[in-house]
Amino acid sequence: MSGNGNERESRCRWNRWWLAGGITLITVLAIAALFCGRYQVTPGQALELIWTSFASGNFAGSLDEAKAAMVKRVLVQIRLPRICYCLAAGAGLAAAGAALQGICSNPLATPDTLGAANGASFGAALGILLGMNGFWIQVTSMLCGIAAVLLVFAVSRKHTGNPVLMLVLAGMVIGSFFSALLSAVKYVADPQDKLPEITHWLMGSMNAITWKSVTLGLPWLLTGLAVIWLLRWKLNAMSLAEEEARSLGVSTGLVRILVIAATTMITASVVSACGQIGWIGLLIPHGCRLLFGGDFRQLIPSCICLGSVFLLLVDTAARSLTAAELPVAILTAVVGAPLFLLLLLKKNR
Amino acid sequence: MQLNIENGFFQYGTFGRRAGEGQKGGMLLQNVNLTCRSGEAVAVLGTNGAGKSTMLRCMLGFETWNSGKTLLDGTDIRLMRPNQLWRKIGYVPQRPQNSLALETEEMVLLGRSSQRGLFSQPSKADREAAVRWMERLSIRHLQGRLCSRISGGELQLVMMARALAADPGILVMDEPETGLDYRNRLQLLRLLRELKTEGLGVIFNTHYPENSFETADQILLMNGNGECRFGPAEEQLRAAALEWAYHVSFQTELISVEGHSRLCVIPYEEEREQKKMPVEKE
Repeated sequence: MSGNGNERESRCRWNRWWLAGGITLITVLAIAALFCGRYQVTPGQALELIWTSFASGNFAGSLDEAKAAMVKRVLVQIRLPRICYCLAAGAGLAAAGAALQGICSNPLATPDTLGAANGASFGAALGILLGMNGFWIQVTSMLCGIAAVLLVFAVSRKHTGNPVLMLVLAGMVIGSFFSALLSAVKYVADPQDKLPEITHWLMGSMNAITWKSVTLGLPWLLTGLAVIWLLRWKLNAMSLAEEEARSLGVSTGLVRILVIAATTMITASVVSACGQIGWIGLLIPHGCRLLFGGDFRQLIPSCICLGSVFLLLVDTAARSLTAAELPVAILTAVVGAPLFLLLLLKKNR
Repeated sequence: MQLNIENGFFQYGTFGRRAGEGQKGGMLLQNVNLTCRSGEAVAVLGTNGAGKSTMLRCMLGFETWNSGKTLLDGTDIRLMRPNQLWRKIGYVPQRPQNSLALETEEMVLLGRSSQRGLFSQPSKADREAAVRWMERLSIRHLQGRLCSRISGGELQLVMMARALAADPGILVMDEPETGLDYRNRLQLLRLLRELKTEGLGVIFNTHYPENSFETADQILLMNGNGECRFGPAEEQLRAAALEWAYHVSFQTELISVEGHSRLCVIPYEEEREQKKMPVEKE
């Protein structure tokens, strides 16, 4: 009893204060991130820019026209879409990880478990190989990601036993099938120009994000996120045994399909826009679970907040730490692996 | 409310084959008939492997009867929408297999899922119902504790509160008192009797005939050869009936404890011939 009595106090409760704090933190960090990076832009310049755009064209201050155009381009065309997508991708990957861990009853499930990431990677590599432009690479990649998961789902439906186990196994098999296809694409790719491009793309980087890729990927991502958000209470029931969940009146099959569709949309749109970014879907849900407990009604909102903060921080570091930009996936793994170990050790204490 | 099983037949692994056509030894459940009305308790008794849990799972539609059906107020449950069905039936499974990272209150609140749509969140009324049932089962003090950190008896009550939170008409429990100590067992059986007088229909599996005495009105006996007998408790708890079900000799005694009569069941001899073996050819 004495040991259990502290159980509640040792964890926080995700309430409106945490939510308000999270939103404030995201806003502050997003604005700060606008002014980080290789090209020096000060907040003063930005304010001036906003002011002049309202006061139609009178450059009163330090900015001449060429400089103003450059600042505007850096802020609006390069950093802003990137920051937007970072926030959404971080939130999406973390929530998708948490939701999949819920429906798979497996704490090691990640957004890539069902093969979406492998499929999308193959699609992107294929697009690069065929010399498509950025837009069509993204489209091909997304379609391949979705196709991979549909295949996984179709295979798992043929089996009458434990639906979750079959889903995870089929995900593994189809996933490695697509990574074999990816290797084949790499093998035939021209080692002078195509192969480095594929490799660099696969490492995951947000530097190719433009408003065009945001408008293509963001609606999918946000739809998936919304579905997971709405299903957050049902996810509690899904983490019980199958029959137990059904006996609570939950249509387990329907919820599973919806969650799979949502996570696929999220993963495919993230991978198609910026390559494979690992660790967020594993690290953030586990961290949040440690902080706020296993109730998905607290877990999903906290994952969304912390996921977007994490990816924003890491990406901002990736583009401002060194002269040449680091692929963000390398940094998420370098930061994520020790953090995850730390969490595990803390959990077992 | 009334739940009926009419001529239920079930056998594992015979998809598409009509019941009764299989070899007799493989038939798990034959001709199950059962009725449970509001304010009545039905106990299901039988040997290990007689199919008590399977019977409950068939009854609730987790397995499909090869033939026969389960009726709830005259409607085949296969024709009912899951939401409708699980508002009327509360189910307490044997024991949770997954790690339970939820707090007790959240767990009880899940019982309200059937009252709510796919995308909705629990309302204030749902939370109140959860708390009301926790209070009714005297487990309010467990609020804020994790389900993985409470005792087996407490967890059983939490799961019962979860099933009752939907305000069902029939409560189905799979071996509710197995693994509980005397005090928890008595408390659970007293609760079942109280709920029964409040108008709930109760169906439960048990290994112990003593526990069904005083609590159950009707008893389904299963003898392990697939045969089932359903009848009033006083008849089914006679030594002869129990011998038929358990393949052991019994002496049953009614003893008076503080003015209440209690059933004492003493098994004393293993029967030599457990089953009638099929006659060998030549």
